[in-house]
Amino acid sequence: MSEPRPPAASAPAAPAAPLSAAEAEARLRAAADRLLARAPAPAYLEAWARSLTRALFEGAAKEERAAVVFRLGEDLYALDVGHVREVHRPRRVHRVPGRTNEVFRGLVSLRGELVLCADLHVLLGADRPPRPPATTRVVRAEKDGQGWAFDVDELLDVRRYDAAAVAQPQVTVSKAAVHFTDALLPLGGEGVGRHAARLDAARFFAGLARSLT
Amino acid sequence: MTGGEDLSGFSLFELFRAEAEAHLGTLETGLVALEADPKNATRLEELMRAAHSIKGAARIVGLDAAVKVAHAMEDCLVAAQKGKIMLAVPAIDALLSGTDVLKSVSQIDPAVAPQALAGRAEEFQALVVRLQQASRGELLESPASAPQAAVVAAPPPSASVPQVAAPPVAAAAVPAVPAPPTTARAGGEAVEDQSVRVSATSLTRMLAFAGESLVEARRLSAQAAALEVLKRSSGRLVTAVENLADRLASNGEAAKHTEALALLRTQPARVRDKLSEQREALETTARRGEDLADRLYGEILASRMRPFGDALGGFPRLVRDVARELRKKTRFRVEGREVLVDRDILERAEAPLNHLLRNALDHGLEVPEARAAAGKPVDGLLYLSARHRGGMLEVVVEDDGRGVDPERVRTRVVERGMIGADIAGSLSKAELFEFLFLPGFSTRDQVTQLSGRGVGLDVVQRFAQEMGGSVRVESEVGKGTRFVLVLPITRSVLRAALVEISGEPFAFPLTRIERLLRLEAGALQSTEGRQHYLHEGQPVGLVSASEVLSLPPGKTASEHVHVVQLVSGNDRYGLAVERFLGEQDLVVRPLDTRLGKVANLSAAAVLEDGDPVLIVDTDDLVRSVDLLLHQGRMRTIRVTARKDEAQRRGRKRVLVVDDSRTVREVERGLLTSRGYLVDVAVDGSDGWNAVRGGDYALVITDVDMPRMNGIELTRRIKQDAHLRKIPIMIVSYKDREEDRQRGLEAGADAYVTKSSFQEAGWIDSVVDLVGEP
Repeated sequence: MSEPRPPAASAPAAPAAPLSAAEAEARLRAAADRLLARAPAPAYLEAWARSLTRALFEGAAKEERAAVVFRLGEDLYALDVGHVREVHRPRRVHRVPGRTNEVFRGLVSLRGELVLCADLHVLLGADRPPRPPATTRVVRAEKDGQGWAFDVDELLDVRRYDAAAVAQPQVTVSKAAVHFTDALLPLGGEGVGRHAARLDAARFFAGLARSLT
Repeated sequence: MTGGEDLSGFSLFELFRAEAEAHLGTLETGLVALEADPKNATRLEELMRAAHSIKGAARIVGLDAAVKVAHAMEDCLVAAQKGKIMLAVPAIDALLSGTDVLKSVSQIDPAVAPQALAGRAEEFQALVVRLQQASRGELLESPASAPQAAVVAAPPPSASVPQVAAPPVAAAAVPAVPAPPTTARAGGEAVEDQSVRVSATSLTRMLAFAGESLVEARRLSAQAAALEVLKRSSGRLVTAVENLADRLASNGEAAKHTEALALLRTQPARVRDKLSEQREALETTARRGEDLADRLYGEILASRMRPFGDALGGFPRLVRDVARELRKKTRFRVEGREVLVDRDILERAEAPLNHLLRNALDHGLEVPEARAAAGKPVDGLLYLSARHRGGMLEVVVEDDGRGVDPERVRTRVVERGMIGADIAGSLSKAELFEFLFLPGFSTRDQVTQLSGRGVGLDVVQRFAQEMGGSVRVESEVGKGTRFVLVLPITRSVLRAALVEISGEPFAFPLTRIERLLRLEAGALQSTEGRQHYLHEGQPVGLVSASEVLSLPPGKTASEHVHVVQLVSGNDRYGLAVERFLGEQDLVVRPLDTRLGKVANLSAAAVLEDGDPVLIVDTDDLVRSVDLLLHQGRMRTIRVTARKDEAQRRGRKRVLVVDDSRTVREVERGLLTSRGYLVDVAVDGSDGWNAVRGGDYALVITDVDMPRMNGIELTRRIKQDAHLRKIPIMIVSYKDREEDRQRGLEAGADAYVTKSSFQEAGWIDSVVDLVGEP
């Protein structure tokens, strides 16, 4: 989807001079472009994507899915895109006295909203780099309206894959993580045998929620 | 009635409901006002329009029953408008009943409306007939003394009377008054601010985004400031070039470098000027952006505010009906309708205000004969007002009735064994009135004029406290009583002092702290491991904030001790923090519900720099501080205890565990006056710590408490090999058999309800369990 930026409207601060018909039309067009260039609602996109792709994949019993792939220490994980809301640069986390523990770290402000923040290195038992790398990002994920934020060491990709082509999970990721993963996604491309452990959304979010009790 | 129409055309019905709500409000308030002033033409006109509008709206959604009732009401009002009839009390009653019926119809589930309405056909028909009689001036009496009786006594729904309502009959009975032309209506309508419904979540999110755009806009100013640094260094470059040129000129070498010098002279200067220009432009943009973001933010915040009058819809009616029921005469005056209040507070204030008004009518105002005998006007005055005062909202409910006699309260308090007669004798009037807010205080004795005064006033107090405010009573015997509720104007914005604790920012509501102190290290004194300082000659105990919050101690570079001084009742506490970070207006965000109630915290917010901050719950914190000091004192007490062992020998120690300060103090009072030694804990978890550290003859615990509830506490004690022999008494509001069973199953030795505090029986059952102190 290319995003043609509408021509910037002439500075609104300069009033007085009456508009020519052409200018007025240009402004109107610019305004209409801006209106139309607004990001559509996610549900709307999803509905259309589903309806358009249905025809495409009918017959071929292929179920295409997409997951966000990220790195924690040496391990790669994948979380269904449907659960990822946004990605930000790292933010300061405020501890919640009496509540903060190894997994639940506190509150973080993302776009002015306060979100519970968890430590996935601990939850999934991944190695933590001695200091957060420059590639660190904070991911905001959500399931059933329950939002969570967590730092990842690197955000790699949004990977489309064939749901049938996943492998059974093996102990290629840390033991703690096995409990939260349900499949291995072959990543291909960069070297044979590289996989990301796909997080089972229900178990993953339940694991996060348990950190609060 | 309605045919087999499907009324679940949902959005349409929603619209009808919203419209009806507004008009019904007008009707209710207007009718009550009309009673005092039945010829008021403007009011009649307004009421007639309201009835007419409801009729139209009901017709659109196919609620024939409502159409008929509204139509009959309209006719009645039109007749009054034309001077054909005078609306006397019975007619007003009928109209009010009509309002009630329409209200109940508008709240019906559209899917089941046809059946539900068919079942009430007789009720509607009876009402329509009464209204028709009223509009002919034939209605001389209300069917029952209580105005709502007509509604209450409606025949039970019966499926056997379908389609009874007979439109032709109704039509025949209606006097031939043409409906007023609609055009007349549009003209006279006062222009009102239109409102739309926005979901609370959406509003909160808008506020978050507006806040964030303010943060971003401020970052822009910071970038403009960075350009200033660049501009200054280019300025220095210009000077350096000038110096170089001067030196070359004095050496006579300038001629060799004419071209290079010319370039060096012009270019840096242009860079500097351009930078200066850019910086100004950026600054202007930043300022505009900030201003705009600020206004947007302010506007969204303001959209949370509603006029106080919006909450009062049902009150005139309530006052009228209750007064009639009690056969009292009253004038109800309201002031400050236009005062703006946060919609959250306004919504939640309705029930407590309702309670205070009923209370004033029932217990404050005297019957007309008594008033006449006392030389007062027969009409009692009931006064409700709201205003902004000192950054708070002050709501007053005042009556000019008989007042509360402090001496009676004093007697009752002693009779109930709540405090000893000696202490009671020394209490001031204000302190005595505090007892009126205790749960269940003075419920029994109907003969005293105090009776019932206390019923539910604890609810009013809890509301005030939950909102971060307070309530007090003022009263003069024979002159009247005044309840003053002081509430925050908004729960969304809080003026707070920011401090650093354990390296992170925390906010204290300004209204909740007594002062901030910066003490020299030498000002601290220490006794038996506890630190204190002197404030106005009195020692104030000092604890470290990080210790109270169970956080690791933070670093301080300062040689001073930074103290937040809190006051609770007569007690002062000093809380040592690492730094003061200044004052800020915070937009309060509730803590994520998944966290539940977090000890010592009330809410969170986002700071101007975009970082999160936690807002301290000072009441909770004071409790934690008290506990921390208390545990310390317990240790000290034990040291001194050995000295006067003889004096203390045999006195039993009781642990009281309850999260309500009031209940703790009442229990402590009762037990102490009986001769027991008492320690307190604020919740199950604290209780568990205390019981393991002390030597208790009895544990008395509440059930519902944060962190660890009473059942869990009981279970733990009873499972501990050393502690299991300690008797446990559960004291709870819950009086159902299953609650009782649950407590006893956990191992409690007795289960009593809180209402039993008022009886001597409570202290007796303590004696039964553990023997005399």
